[in-house]
Amino acid sequence: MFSAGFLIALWDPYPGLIVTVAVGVSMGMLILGPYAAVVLYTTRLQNVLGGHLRWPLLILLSVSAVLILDHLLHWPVAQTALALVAGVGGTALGHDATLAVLELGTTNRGVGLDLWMVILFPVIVGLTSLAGYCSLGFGLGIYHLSVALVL
Amino acid sequence: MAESLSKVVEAWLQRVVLGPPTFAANGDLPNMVVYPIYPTELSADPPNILTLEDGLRKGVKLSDTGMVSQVHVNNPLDAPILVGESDILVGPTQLRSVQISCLIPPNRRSSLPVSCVEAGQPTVYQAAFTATEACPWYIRSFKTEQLARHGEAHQHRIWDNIKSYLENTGAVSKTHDVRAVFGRYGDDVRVLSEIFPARPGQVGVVSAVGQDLFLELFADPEIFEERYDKVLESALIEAIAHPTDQVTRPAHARQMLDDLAHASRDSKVLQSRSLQSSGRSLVFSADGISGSALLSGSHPVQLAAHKRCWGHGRPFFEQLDELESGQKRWHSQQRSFVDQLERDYSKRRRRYKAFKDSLKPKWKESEVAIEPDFDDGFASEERDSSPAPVPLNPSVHQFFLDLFKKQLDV
Repeated sequence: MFSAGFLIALWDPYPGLIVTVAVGVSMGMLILGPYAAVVLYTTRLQNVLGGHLRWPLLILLSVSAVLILDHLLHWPVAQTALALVAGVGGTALGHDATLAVLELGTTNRGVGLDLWMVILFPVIVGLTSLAGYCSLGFGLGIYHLSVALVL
Repeated sequence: MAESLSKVVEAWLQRVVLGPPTFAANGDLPNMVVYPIYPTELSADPPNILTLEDGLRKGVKLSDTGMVSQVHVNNPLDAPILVGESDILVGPTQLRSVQISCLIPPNRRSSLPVSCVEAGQPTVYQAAFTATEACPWYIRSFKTEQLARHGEAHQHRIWDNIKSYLENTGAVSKTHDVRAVFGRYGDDVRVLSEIFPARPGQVGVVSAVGQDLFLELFADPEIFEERYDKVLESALIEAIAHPTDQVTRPAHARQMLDDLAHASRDSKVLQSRSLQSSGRSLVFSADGISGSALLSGSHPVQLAAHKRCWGHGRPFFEQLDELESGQKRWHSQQRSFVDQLERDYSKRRRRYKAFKDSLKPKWKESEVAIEPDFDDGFASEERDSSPAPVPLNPSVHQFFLDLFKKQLDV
């Protein structure tokens, strides 16, 4: 995620892009992933197509969420594309993270659930991309400062 | 359906007879008397099923799904595998106890419903279970009662039950491993088990332990013989860990078969979705008896039951004359029956051995790979639970399990 942030800064420093990626991944993990897990397993959709409906449903869910936001916020094409990638990735991670949380939280005595890590991890992933983005500007600033001091 | 299946159990119980009491006449184990169960007649054909111990030796694979309530099983053999509810699955992961006896169909991958019997040990995804051990009867009985009453064995209640069981027996385990009781009394179990040898043709046993009666019955003497060590250990550990000089009277042991037939009328059918084709399991809890039965079609396979006879125990030495006269009477009256049974059994046994030797795994080791084939345990007739969650990527799922895990003091 750090590298992704760095590359985005190199490609297009427009802050909207990196914020979209950071928020997209974090929200995918915190909201869309758990939502997808609930939809899959409480509505018995998991039984359809021999259990192979997970990926299509997950992609449909995240893509439709991004398209609705795009419709409301009128994003540029690049921002929409990044939001789609970040949303799908975050939702997939969030789905598996949700299953892990459920498993640890309900059944495994002697091994508890670290709630702080559950909340902070998605936020940290988003912030890591922001850190990568900021590091380019920071590096450039340090470079210019060094050049000014030396010359 | 439960009614018709319980009739199969009733009819089965009418085709068996209780044998003479076996006991330690010198009083080494005054709270245990064992009664063998014999079939009234033995068919010529041996069974075509294998026990789990034999199956594991011949290529059956059991592995951890990472979920507490399920274990993956892979049967590459041409014969069904009998997995008993008395089995504890042992491997480098959390110990599991099989919830209900079932048959693993030939050439199939399925999942087994299990309960955790080691609360402080985390699951290890894909770890292989390589051996089985006996589960103490009181834990089995509690599990069966839970299934009969609620349709499922609540895991936290089983953990609580094991915790208090270990405290009561003075066994210590940091991870609350139910086998700790065998760790403490294992030497006594080995020595005292020699008092109760299995007899040729025997298909079951009623063990009077203190004021409890434990029954195990199999359709075939070959299967009983294979499983006898565990059957005996399961009851013997209770006799050793809960010493007393009282034992239930022979009349109650004889009465148990009739009581069992009556109690099984009020039963509940449990069926695992992935194992539905191979057998159906009944559980019941009534009149102080709790038990479970496994049927394959209209054929019985296995029956296990626990009857509480609290208040009906008497000191062992007061019953010694009655027990010894019971032994003598049996040997004088049933000599020809026992001899005939032994002859019939020896023929069957040879054929069964040949059948076992002929079995070879159909899949190569590499093909017996662990595949995520999750099933949500079993569903009773009254209950239909939602499907089990399946991770998109097992590695990512395991990563999150490790990340979100917090070790607790146990």
